[in-house]
Amino acid sequence: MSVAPVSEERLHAYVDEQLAAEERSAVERHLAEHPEDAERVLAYRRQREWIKQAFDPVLAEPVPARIRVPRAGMSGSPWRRVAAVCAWIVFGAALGWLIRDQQHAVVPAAASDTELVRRARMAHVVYTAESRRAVEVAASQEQDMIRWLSKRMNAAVRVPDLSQFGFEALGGRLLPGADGPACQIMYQNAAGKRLTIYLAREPGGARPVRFSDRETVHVVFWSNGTLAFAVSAELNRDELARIAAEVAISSPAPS
Amino acid sequence: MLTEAAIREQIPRLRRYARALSGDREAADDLVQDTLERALSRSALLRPGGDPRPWLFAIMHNLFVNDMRSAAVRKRVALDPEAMDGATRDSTQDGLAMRDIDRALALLPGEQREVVLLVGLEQLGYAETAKVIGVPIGTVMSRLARGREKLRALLNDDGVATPLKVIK
Repeated sequence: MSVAPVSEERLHAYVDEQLAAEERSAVERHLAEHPEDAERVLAYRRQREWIKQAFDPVLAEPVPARIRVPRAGMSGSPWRRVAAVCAWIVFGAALGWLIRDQQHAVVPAAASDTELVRRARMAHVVYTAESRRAVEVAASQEQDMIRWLSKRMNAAVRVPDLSQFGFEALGGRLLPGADGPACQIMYQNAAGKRLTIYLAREPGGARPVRFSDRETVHVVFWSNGTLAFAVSAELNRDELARIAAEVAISSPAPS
Repeated sequence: MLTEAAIREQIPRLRRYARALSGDREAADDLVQDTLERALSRSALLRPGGDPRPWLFAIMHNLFVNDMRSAAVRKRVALDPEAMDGATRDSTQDGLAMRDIDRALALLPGEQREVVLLVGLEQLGYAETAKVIGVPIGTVMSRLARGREKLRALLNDDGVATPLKVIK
């Protein structure tokens, strides 16, 4: 008597004990008639056992002192505070070099919101709420997107690699700016949090980095003399600063 | 609200998973520490009362993928089948009775190893595993199937490396 074939998925679900009783007995009937599958199931079960035997002892090890739970929020330890300050110094140095103007203070002060910040924050709030239509062009077509946005913006648009912060690019879109085109590049992390970089043409003098925390979406913004940048996310100041530093470094001012 | 205590409680399991994933005590503990730092800076994202494990594993997955990309931390990534003679790793490190399973795991591509461990060691469901690593469930199933088949080819019934298949 033949038994309905059992899929590969079912065999694994059987190994992992993720089947209901009824499905389980169906798989068992199948195994009774297919010794080669029965042998595989047995092998997979053994593997699970060996893996557990090899690594379960880690559970019983005392947690080494070098593993510490940082305090929630920022600055759990002096080291973290130092790291945060360093990030700002690097950011400041990068921008100082970019804007070639030592007069500017690079320590950001909470600034009154400019037109740029208002637009960037609005675009962030509106488009990060979209699940399927968050971007116009997906990051999978990154080269196309970069060409297109650079052409429309009439400036070199970059898509910085923010994977070291856990953020992957989703894609971008073109937007109306205060006087001309603007664009937004959106990122997302594993937890689903989104971050946007808003770019608008802003010829004239470079402007130093500043920080806006008037609303839950924080914004770090500056201008390199050709493009104005606004990096927005619901992240704390230090985290956003580190990310903004990476954005600034990967988008140098035109020479 | 997720408390520090709730996260601290997860440290042993995070260490176990990281150790199996990286095969190296130092690299594993670095991975755990980085995961904790990211987790604490984002704890507000977690819904109250939610199980922190899948979320912590997702953070660790991201860091792991980045590490593999930069190829800085991962000794294991560079291992080739010839390394199965044990020259590069002490099979009794940390006093654990590491069998050849550990070295066989090292020979799986990172993406298959993750799935084999999340399902087999951490006992996450398939849907949960898919969420943690951010791929469709079908991808989880095919990585699981390929990973387990490869382990089967590498190890005999006693969990000992099968030399003929290993040393090409």
